[in-house]
Amino acid sequence: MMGSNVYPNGRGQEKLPDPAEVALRAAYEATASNNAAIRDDFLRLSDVEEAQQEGRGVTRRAVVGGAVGAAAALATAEFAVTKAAYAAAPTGSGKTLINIFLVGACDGLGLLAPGDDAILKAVRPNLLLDRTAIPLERGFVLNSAFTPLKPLIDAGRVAFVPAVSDNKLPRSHFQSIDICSLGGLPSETKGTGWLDRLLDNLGPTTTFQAVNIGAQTSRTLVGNHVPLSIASLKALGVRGDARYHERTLKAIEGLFHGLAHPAGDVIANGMQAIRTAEKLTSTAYKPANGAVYTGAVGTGLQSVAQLLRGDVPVEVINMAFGGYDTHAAEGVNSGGHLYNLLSDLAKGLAAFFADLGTKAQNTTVIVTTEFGRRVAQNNDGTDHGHGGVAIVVSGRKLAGKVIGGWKGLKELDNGDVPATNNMFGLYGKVAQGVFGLTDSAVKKVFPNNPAVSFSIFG
Amino acid sequence: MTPQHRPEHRSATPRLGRRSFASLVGFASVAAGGAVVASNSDRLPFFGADGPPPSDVGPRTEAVSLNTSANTSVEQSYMDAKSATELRKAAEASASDVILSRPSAAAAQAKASVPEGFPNDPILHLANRATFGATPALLARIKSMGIDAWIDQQLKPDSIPYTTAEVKIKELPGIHLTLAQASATIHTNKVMDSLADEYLWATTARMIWSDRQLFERVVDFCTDRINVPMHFDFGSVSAPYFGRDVIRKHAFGKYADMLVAAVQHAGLVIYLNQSQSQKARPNENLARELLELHTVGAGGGYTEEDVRQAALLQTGLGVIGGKVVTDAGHYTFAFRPNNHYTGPIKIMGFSHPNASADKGLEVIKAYVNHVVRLPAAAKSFARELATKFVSDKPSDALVDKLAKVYLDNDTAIVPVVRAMFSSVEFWASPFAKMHRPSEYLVSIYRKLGVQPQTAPGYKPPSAPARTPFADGLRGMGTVLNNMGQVPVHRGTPDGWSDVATAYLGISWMSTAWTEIDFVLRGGRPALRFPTAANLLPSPQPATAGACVDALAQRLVAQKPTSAQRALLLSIAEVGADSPASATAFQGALVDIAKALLASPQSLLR
Repeated sequence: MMGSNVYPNGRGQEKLPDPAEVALRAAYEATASNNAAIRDDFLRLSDVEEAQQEGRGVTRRAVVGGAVGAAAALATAEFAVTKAAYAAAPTGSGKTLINIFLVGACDGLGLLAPGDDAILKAVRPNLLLDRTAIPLERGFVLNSAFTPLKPLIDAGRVAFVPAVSDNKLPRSHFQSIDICSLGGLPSETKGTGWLDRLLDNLGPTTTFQAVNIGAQTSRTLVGNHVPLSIASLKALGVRGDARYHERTLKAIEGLFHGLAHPAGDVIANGMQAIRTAEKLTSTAYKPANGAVYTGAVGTGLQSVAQLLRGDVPVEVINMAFGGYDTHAAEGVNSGGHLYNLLSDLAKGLAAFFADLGTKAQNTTVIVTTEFGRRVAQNNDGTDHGHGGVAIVVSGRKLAGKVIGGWKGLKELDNGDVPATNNMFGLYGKVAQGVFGLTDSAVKKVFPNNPAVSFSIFG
Repeated sequence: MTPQHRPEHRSATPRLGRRSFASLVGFASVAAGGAVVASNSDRLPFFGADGPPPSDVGPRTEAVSLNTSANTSVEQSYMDAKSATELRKAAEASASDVILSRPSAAAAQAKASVPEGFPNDPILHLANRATFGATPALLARIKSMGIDAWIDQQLKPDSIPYTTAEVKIKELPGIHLTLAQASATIHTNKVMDSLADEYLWATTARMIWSDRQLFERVVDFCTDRINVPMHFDFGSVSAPYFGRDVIRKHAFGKYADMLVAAVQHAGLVIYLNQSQSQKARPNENLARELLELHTVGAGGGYTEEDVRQAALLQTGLGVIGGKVVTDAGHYTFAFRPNNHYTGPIKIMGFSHPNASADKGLEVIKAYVNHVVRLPAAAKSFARELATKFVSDKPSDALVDKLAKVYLDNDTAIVPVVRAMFSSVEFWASPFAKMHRPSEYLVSIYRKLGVQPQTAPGYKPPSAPARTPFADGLRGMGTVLNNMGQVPVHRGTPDGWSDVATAYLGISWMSTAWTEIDFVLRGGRPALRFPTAANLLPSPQPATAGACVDALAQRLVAQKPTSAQRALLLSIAEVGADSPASATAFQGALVDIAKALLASPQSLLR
């Protein structure tokens, strides 16, 4: 299948002008029969395994739902043709969901708090939001670090969700991040991240369909699909003598061809991404509408804006930012540690949405963290808690400024904000709103989690 | 199963009045395993005499357990992904619990399954795993000494002379100070580079040039196991010395001693907020991570109550000095009996009356010495070590064997390392690991044969005053930063993980390829790199094909297959029999070297 797609053997096709193509072709042919055997074997095993896991007969989902491993290495040999021009490939939904994860457990009550609350005054006197806090609605006040987002908040484009968690989430950073990334327990998610399962429901598009921004590939995107994982768009490119550049990329592609290691998929997908990125970054990027990108979040989002404004059909982005494990010297007000982190987040989001202009209409950001922090301070910081705060920012109108259930601080879970609003229900509802998924599609992404009952979009 | 562990005997906790506030800070007031454990909740400072009565804050629920249905490590989670299927299958195929008396015997017994297009060479395999990159000289050395003698020598690093570059590390002005000296001078010496940078540069210099390669590999492993990153409040001074005085000092000693030293070092004590922890307001950070990351691991059998008990016990571990950062003693460790909680403690089988504040430090050390020797701690250590050195998914059988060696040798690290190299599974797993981004760059530098001398055309920076050696390492540090995985700079308490599926990204690879191009064209003259032509034997082979073969031997220690050779020659658009002197071929040499160093044979190890 793949051999004939990539390098047709039909007459008239045999004369390939580029020696690199000739060499590539030779490499493919040399390994073709071996690969075909491996692939068949793999797909058969994959089908059987999947069928066993799901307790049903053999299906072809392993093939159509996004090949894995050896199968992907082979299927993506089509890179030479199908992924050569992203503009010609299916453009997908035209929507983009950006998942931003705050690593370290962001203190929800330092971000968004019930105003003038007697319990908070009693148990966290050092960590109360000061008078610069922004009054929202339902009695909540917002950390004034979000001032850069005020115009978007006033326009109904930002929603805060308090008391977000899931009763499966423990107080361990690693375990909670892992469960958040999988969108459930390992046994419920079959080793796939939730964004990876979301891709199952979006259909194939291009190399840039799912982009991870960061040094490590987020577990959210690990599973069936091969995400593009980059530090930044600018970092994606290879310096070299222009005369040999393209042929060098082709040679590297060829050297990885047929490799029974997931790095083979990375190269197969990544080379085309390099070519696209080199085009997009060949001239200095000029943000629109006076947007100024600063800080870690802004720098990350600038790469996303560059892709979106370059009409690259990105559907899913994952980014993570750390520093939120505020056991000490938390600093919720101006100049404090948490304030500075949230300020970086707010400035980055404000610049991004300004820069996107009308494209913001198709773009939604969800910001979550592995858990909230304990209601009471330990001194000038907070220990690990449970319910945290989620943020939704979209170019579309949202259902409110503070959405979701809130029962106050009288009924706590082990001293922590309880999980009033389910984390995974929220993920599912946001993804559904962005991509127009059916309930059953959402159920496939989050099999064991109740949908949240409140609306996200207005 | 229930997601939260709520033992029956505590399920009917009555609605509490004033005491319920105690639960808000997570104080121990629960009987763990039936034994009564003291609570100091009555001393809570939240309300003064006139404070508002905490009339109704609701019932306290039982302490939350770790989720036993969840993954227990980052590695486990990534390796259970579908995209790791091939890696798992390869690992399963090489699984073995056989450990022999000598590495060479294990090598002889192992049936290595080498992927197509990769060389089957036990010496190369050993070099790929025990060092930061196989160079021709290193391979020749292992070959002449033999596998066993070479490993023996590596396990006695003091017998191996320092290299020129290791001697040059003393050019970094802060690296040899004591912590107290550094604390005193850091804020007055404005021309000095940051100690955090210097420690990174010293670390990478050792990785590239030290002949004590296995020691440096184990240091790297321990650095990730007890991670104290360079950048946190006050950490830029204490963290580098944590690396030297705790990790490097004990890397070939006992892990228990390393951990006991760690909890008595300002680096870890400040980083995980232990220095802010007070007996009336304990901070759980170090207590939790010591269990989850440094000893038994997540899923290792501890509860939230254990964490809270440990947090109480560990109070008193602190640092000397006030808030003034120029205070010479600010960053040094001190035990503060006045701040040590006293009263009975029970944590994972460790119980102690803990009655005397003055003897608190001894109780804390006894506790650390207890948990670090628990079977779960042995398994966690063994699994991480095997994941680092053998494969991304080492077999449970091998892990169990190595855990036994750890316990039998009272947590001594060298016997575990030796047993690992004597395992059949190790020798059956060539090319099963992928370089992490930083290791990839270091291996490229080593394979290119970079020297710690300047190249012609080097101009020193005007300020700060920095030796060319430091300047060259600074340049490399910038590249590592762009690649995103900087050694000793992981910003969270878990160190950098070491499985391929966590690093499946293209941009760090392309950044490294750019660096190859840059250095081969003379872009980093603070260090001496060869030109692409220098990588070839002299005189140059006559044909392009022979040159490509020689280059492959030089950079990836193998003769290319005919398909690989054709791909490499296609860069220059020449045939194998074309004269090597042709301009098109000579002009493409840098790119051919780049493609070889980008190849799977260079990326995997």
